[in-house]
Amino acid sequence: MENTSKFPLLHLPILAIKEVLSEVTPLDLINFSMVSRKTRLIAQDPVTEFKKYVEYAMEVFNWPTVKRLNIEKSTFVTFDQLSSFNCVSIHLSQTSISDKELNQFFKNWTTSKSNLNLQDLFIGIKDLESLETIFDLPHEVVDPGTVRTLHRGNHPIPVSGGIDIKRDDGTVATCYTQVCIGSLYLAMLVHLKL
Amino acid sequence: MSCEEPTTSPTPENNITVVSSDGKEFLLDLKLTEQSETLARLISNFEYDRTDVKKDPVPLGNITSAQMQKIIEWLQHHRYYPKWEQNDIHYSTSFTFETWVEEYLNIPNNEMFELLNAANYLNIPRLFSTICRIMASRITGKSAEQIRTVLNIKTDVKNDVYTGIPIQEDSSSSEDGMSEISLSPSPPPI
Repeated sequence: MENTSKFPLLHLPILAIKEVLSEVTPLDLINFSMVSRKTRLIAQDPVTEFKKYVEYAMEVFNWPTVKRLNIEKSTFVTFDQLSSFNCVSIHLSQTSISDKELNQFFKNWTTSKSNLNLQDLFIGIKDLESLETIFDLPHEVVDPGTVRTLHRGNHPIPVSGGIDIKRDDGTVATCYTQVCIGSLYLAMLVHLKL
Repeated sequence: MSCEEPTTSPTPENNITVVSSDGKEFLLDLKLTEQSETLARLISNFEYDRTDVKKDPVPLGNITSAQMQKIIEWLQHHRYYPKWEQNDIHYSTSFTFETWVEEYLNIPNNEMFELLNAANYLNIPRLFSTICRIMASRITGKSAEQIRTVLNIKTDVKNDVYTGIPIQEDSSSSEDGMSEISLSPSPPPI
């Protein structure tokens, strides 16, 4: 039944378009959404519907596990959400997490209350003065002349000095600040048992 | 006046006349109109199923005579089919069609488009659903680029050269902004 004339699907009543899309797979829907801005809008409802199944699978079967989370404009991320991200890597830019909340975050980490899988945190902070509040917890300042090789994923990262914090199971993480494209970030790298 | 002649010739008592947009009249057996929810409702509202009620011709301003002929062919073929049921929860999509349907819909896409509009206007769910499934079968398993070709859509999104995935141009539309890929800006090596 192939023929060369075109079928202007998008000119059909929305009811007909939805009926067509109800017959295709979620992967087809996603491909359809990539066709144009209009198809992306049209596919939004059925894809959202599919998303509910994915969220159900994630919740009930713990699948798939998100290992690395990168949110560029993360002002919407709350402290509770940050604490619930059970990821290996969390990178948040333009965050609204306060210094006190970050302090609580690290306290929770050191007492194994949250983010047990975390190996790599990279989060925007306001200024260097924030560190006073953030590290109002047991910590050890490392001599700036001491250079240690830590890891972000598989990449070795040489770190000079920094602040070490220790979890109650003995796991150590080093925190340090870093300027990236004009903004100040706080990095935390967990010492991996390689 | 041009009249379609169904297998069972309609008598004045058991038929109505519909008029296409180009002025052609078609005699339609009331039994056939049961497949069209639009016509069935109209017949019920005007009590055209009663023999003592005068039946005025029904104008179908959105349907051409060619489309009407095609639709009557469909209605005739499905005359004795059970009433169309909405898909239940056990429904699964099938892109296999009976031979008659394949031949019936072996028409140019533009005609199929018009037929789908007509099926929607007359509310003939079996025909509507069948054409939608045919269209779905032409999308399924295809990449965005192939779908663009099938549907003749010019792209208005920029795609990543490597992945083919659209680049989010409007950052405000990125909803929750979640991603699984590396940070941008990414932390440079120390």
